[in-house]
Formats: sequence, structure tokens, C-alpha cells
Amino acid sequence: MAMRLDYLAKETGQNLVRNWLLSIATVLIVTVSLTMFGITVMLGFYGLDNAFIKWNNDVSFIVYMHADAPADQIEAIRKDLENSPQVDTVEYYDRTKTYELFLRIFKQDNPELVNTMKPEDLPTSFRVKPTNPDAEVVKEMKKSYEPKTGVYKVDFPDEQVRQVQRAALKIRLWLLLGVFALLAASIVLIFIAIQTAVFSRRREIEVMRLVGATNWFIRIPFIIEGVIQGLLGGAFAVTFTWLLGVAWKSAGSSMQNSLLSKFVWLPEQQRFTFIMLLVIGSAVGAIGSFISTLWYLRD
Amino acid sequence: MIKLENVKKIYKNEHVALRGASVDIQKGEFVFLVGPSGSGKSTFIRLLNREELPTEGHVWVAGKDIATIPNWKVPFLRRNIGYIFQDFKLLPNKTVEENVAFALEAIGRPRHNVRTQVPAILELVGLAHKAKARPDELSGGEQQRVSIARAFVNRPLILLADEPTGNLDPATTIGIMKLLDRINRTGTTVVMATHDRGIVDVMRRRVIELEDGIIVRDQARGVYE
Repeated sequence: MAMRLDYLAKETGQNLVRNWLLSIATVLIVTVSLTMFGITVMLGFYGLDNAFIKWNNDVSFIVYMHADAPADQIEAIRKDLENSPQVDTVEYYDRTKTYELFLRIFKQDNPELVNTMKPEDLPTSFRVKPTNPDAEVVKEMKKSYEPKTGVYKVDFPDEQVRQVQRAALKIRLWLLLGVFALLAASIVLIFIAIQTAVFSRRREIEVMRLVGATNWFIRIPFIIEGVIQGLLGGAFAVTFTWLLGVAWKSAGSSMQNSLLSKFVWLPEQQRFTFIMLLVIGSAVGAIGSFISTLWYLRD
Repeated sequence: MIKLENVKKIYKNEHVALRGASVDIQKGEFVFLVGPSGSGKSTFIRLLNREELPTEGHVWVAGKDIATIPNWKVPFLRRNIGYIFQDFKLLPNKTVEENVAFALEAIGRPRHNVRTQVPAILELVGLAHKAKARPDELSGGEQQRVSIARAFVNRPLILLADEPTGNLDPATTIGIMKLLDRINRTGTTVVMATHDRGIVDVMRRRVIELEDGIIVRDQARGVYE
């Protein structure tokens, strides 16, 4: 059945105006839910992801050579590491470089120790950055290098990495649950708002049904009303998420090198989040009002 | 046009509203449904509009068995049926012409159709001069005229009226009955439930009397009792 656009606009407009207080309340609730959703996605997903990538970039393991390891053994290990597809970069710390590092660490705190040590007492080592920073993968690499000739030991903070990875997984799971709970709450609230709008127009709906209006004809203005409320909520959420993002970034720049400063997101990730907020807002509005009218207009 | 065959209607609360009702109403007939309150008159009308389905038996309206019509097609059946209520059921926030236009808009009629048909029907019911008035500015009789205009604007085959004069004084009732008679003369079948002895006796049309869900009398050119 053809539906006139002017009729549709008039009915939807009347619904929104007649229940203006409820409409505002619904838009506010969708705004709050979607703003929290947006922040969760930006910080909890993209931010955490990026922070984790940056943190992973720093993950490396150290292959210490015996202090008396001959040059050919050191060269063999170097070649082995450089040819390994699992290795991203390798940096060799000879005695001079190791001694410089040693001085940097202990000069102030333990000058006595510095006085007793000479460069030739220190072992040389390889600082290895793996291509895959996953704790299990790196642990396997560590095991494969430990028995090699000339290797004294291989150091890798595997338990620490595993803990961080586990924590990240947990945080993401809880955030995901929270986001779904918020979206479900938004759907329920839009459902209630549209139910109230439908109830306030029950007499008109009764007349419409008796004169032969189809359920879809009755339903569509309510669905559009829900979509408008969802879309408005989404648009406000985009604004607030953007503002909070700006505030976060400016706060982050003042606390450089802290963990929080690593929680950043790319412009395309931000754009995608904003589009997602608008789409989800509209979808939540459509779903909420569809369920609501389905409930009321069941045969 | 309308046919009931051994129709039994039992509501969920076990109340039996109709017990084996059989009746045949031809196109263009004017039928009064009479009987005491709770005798099954309203159920009879609600079955014709497919607001209810029979528990047993068959109801045919405009050649269709209403029990076999899928839910999505019910609105299309209802476009052939006008409905007049005792309490008018006008929309208080709309003007007279908007109330009438609403019936056409709700079934997706084009704007030019609405623009031509609404003034014509308001002229027919004698309310052209009150097109811009709201229902609360009208008398009971005028409100019922608007209700009739809304029910008839779509030129339905059947007009169902559930005690349309129940809230009106005798003088106004005569005006409403004259209007319904005029509509009936255009070929529209009118089925009217009423308690009004006076109009039934004066008009002398077919009378179907119900008592405790049973058709106890079906009389051409009958009287109330």
C-alpha cells in the first residue's frame, strides 16, 4: 500500500511533539548509553589495542652468551637469529656496550660494584625482538636457544607478558558485556517510550484498524519515531564522545610515558566509531519501536 | 452479502454469546438487530467485522469466509465495511474534516482523492459548514453524523452500526436514521443493533431478534416486538 510522505511526516511529527517529554527522555537515555558505548569502544577496544601494540613492541628477549664464549660461537648465534623468520630485529651488545649499560644502571646506586667490575667480566648478549610477541611463541623460541653452544641463558619475562595478555582479554570481555547490557537497556527504554506513544494514541489506532489500515501502515510512523530518537541520541553521543576524546588526548599529552598516554586511537578508528554510533542508534530505535508495535498490534 | 451458518461463539470466559445462529442478508438490505443487553447483538456485529472469529460454524462477508482470511488480509476486508459506534469514537484533536479524511489517509488514498471526497461526504451528512470545528464544539447528533461520514466516505458495501442512536435524543435520532436510510438507498447494506423501539417500529425494515445468543425471530418489515 502506498503511504503518503506528507501523512507519514505529519503522524511522526505529531507523535514526537505530543510525547515531547518522553521523546527527550528517550533521546537522553540513548545519548548516555551510546556515549558510554563510544567511549568503551575508543578506549577499551582501540585504545587498549593500540596500547597493547605499543607495549608489545617493547617485548624482547635477551640471549646472554658465556663471558668466555669464542667469537665463532657468538657469530653462529647471531647468524641463527638473523636468519630466523620469527625474529624481527637483533641487536648485539658487545662488552663495551654492555659495560655502558651497566654503568648507566649501577653507577649512582652501587658505585662499589662498578669499581669491582671491568668490561671483560661482563657477558655479551643479543637483544631480540620477535615478530610475534605472544608469550607462548616467545617461550618456545627461548627454549630453542637455551641449549645452543655458547649460550649462558635466555631471559624473557614470559609470566609478566602472559599476565598482561590475560588481563587485556578479561578487560575486553567485561567491556563487551557492559556494552551489550547498555544496548539492551537502550532497546528496552525505546520500547517503553514507543509503548507509551502507542498507548496515548490507542483510540486513533483502534479507528485506523477498523477503517482498514494495515498493521504496517500503523506501525511505520512509530518505527520512524524510534529511528529519529535513536539517531538523535546517536548524534549527541558522537558529539560527547568526540569531546571526551579531545579531553582525553590533551590529558594524555601532559602525562607522557605513562601507560594511559598509550591509550590512543587512529582518526579512521574514530570515524568508524562515530558511524557505528549513528547506525546503532538508528537500529536500536527501529528494533525497540518494532517490538513495541508488534506487541500492541498483534492479531 | 452476509451469511451466517450455524454460528456459535464462546468467549474464553466460557460465556456463550451466540448459539447456532444462521442468517442470510442480501445486498442493499436494512437490518435491525434487536434484543436485550447480552443477547449477542454486539458479538454478531463484531463477527461481521472480523474482530471476533466464530467458535463453530461459518461467517461469510462479501463472499468470503472470514475464518479463512489470513490476518494480513483483514484490513482489506474492513475497507468494505463501515463501522459506526454508540460513542462516536471521534479523534478529539482533529477537526471534523480531518476526522473524516483520517479514514481515507489510513488506507493510503491519494491526496486529491481525500480533497474531493471529504467535502462531498460532509455535504451529504449536512456538516459542510462545520468542517473546521472540533468534535467538542459539536452536539451529539452532529458528532454521530461525523462518525457516519467517516464510516461512509470510503463507500463501503456494508455499514455496521452498534447502537448509533443510543446516546441521542429522539429528535436527533430521527435525523440520524434518515441519513442511514439515505445511505441504504445507495445500495449499501446496513446492519444496525438497537434498543430503540420507536425507530424500528416506524421504519418497518427487516428485524432479527436475538435472545440469549439464539435468533428467536427473523421478520421482514418487522417491529421491535
